[in-house]
Amino acid sequence: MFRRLLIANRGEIAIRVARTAREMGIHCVGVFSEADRGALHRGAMDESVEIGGPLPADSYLNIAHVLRAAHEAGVEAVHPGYGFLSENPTFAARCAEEGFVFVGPPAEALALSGDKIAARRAMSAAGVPVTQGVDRVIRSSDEARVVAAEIGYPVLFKATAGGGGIGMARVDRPSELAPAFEAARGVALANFGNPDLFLEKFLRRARHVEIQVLIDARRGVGFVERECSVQRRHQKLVEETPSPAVSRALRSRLIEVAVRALQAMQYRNAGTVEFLLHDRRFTFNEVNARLQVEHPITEAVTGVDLVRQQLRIAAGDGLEVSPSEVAHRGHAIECRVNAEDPIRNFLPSPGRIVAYRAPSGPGVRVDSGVAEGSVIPPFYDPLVAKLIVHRRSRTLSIEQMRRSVDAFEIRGIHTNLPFHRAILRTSAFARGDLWTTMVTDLRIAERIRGRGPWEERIAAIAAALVAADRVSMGPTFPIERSPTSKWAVAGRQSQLAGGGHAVPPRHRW
Amino acid sequence: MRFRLDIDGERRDIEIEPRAGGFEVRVDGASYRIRARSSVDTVDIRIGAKVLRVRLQGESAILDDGVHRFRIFEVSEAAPTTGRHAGGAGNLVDVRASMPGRVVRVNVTPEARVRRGQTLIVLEAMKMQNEIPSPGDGVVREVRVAAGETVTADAIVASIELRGSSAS
Repeated sequence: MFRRLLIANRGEIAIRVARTAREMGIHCVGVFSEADRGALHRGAMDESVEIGGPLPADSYLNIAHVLRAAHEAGVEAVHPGYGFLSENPTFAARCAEEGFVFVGPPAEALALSGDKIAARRAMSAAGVPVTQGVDRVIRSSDEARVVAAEIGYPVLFKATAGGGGIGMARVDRPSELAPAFEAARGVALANFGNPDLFLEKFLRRARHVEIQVLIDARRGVGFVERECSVQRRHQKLVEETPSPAVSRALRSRLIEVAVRALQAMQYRNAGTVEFLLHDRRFTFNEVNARLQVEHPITEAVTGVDLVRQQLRIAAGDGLEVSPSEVAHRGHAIECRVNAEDPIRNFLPSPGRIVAYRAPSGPGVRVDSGVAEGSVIPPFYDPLVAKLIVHRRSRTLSIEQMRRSVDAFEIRGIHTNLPFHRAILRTSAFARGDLWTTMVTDLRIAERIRGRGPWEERIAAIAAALVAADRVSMGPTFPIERSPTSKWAVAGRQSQLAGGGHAVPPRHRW
Repeated sequence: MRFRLDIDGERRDIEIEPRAGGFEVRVDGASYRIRARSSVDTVDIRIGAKVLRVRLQGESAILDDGVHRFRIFEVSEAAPTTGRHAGGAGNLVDVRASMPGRVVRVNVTPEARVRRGQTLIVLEAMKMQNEIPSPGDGVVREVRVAAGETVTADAIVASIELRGSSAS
């Protein structure tokens, strides 16, 4: 096993990887950008190295800077976490060239899974059913029109170099095709440096299910499926395992197909094969060639530490789990807590966390990248914490999750906790009737009214101030120029005078 | 009525409107229907089925067992997303950043004619882009930010001289 490991990431995932690695006696070296000098993940490491400016391209995405840190720290291996450089074949290859073990799949497997068309072809060749579509780059909107007419609307443009739901555009009718084609190409070029698109049939009311696989040179093990249908703009928000829609027979087929698919790609380490479940059939969606955000729910129901297995596979120590050990127990759910305001169209909400209290107790796990006083910079992913619950049954998990979401207090920034409160209370979710567009179809965000107990208290105080006539119109003066506010003075005067008004204003119920 | 409430170090935007028998209170856009009854030093607040008693003492609000320090700022009548310059030209409005973030693009230069809804500036935060539109038809008088700069929420990014009656 390695003695020194560089963790080339930030936030909750860097902390999560360090936890297991340090348990295994590995010396952990973290990295941080200028914007993350005070970040929580630094404290989870044995040491940490500054790797550049706040922008990802200057730090966490900068291969030269990350490798320099690896050399300086004298590590043997690099764990990339998820996002940033985790699925970058150039980075994996450069690690190997410079003598570091990349804790992830080989560069060739990353290149294959990162090219969505090549991955589709490889899956077809391995006998994995793929979603109806074309295995070539669509060169013009005219060509797209012909293909779309063949496979039938709605269709979905996807970026060949895409990922994370970026560069996808759904088209419901021929008139929308040309503008959607141009827009999606622009987004793909801006995000991936490659405008190429291909086309797939858009499956209505499909479920997103995926199989976690661990695979070494000798064998591959697939785990019970995760269902991640609760999404917004192709971003997962709630995940659970097992899926309420997957029978035992379907499960063994999915696992068998997923393991076979990754073996055909010469894949190694941890990977996930995503499927769309539609009309009782399943088709391949994509391979996520990394440890995923939602991996803790698999850990909850199986008891397997996926990061430990990643490190063992990478070090050549072999998988520790046998197929008989992957039996699952109970049901687990994860809610992603993002610094986004669900009441204002999920607008990003970076800022300083002034109060933080996470739920705890049996069956509750919080993987967090923040604490009280943390500053969430605007440069990175909005994920601040993951709330995971594990209970005997789905019903009990949902109840536990509702309580835990209510008990989660994060002040100073807005989070999507009110969204979770809302989705967990829909009857569709309770029934296990999930599909990838349910958040928009059921207008979940539009149903959110209040934000939570703390905002309710603020509203109460605000109403009390108005009812007590403590707020009245005056000239506007910005906070910076008013060290002593007129209202503060008024407050003190009112206190000096014995408090309150001689005749308090009254409001009837 | 609209004001800013600094409460225990957190700054929140409050909008409050009288409604039949009470108020509608919005905290950063989240709305609550509230009834209030005040006596000498306390105000009883009803939200839904819940009753909360708020005691106001100087700059503290005592609610159940919690003492919250508050300050009130920027009280105004309307709820503008753009603030008007005090005095000066009547139809000059400030355009403010919708969120904290980085300016990725500035689409306009001073003296450019713009139409209502036209994108002036594109902000990015947390891998999400947000376009700041012009509040009306008019002429750009000032651009206060450049691509690459970081802005705070509500920072003034530009000012627009609105044309004719669209200023309202």
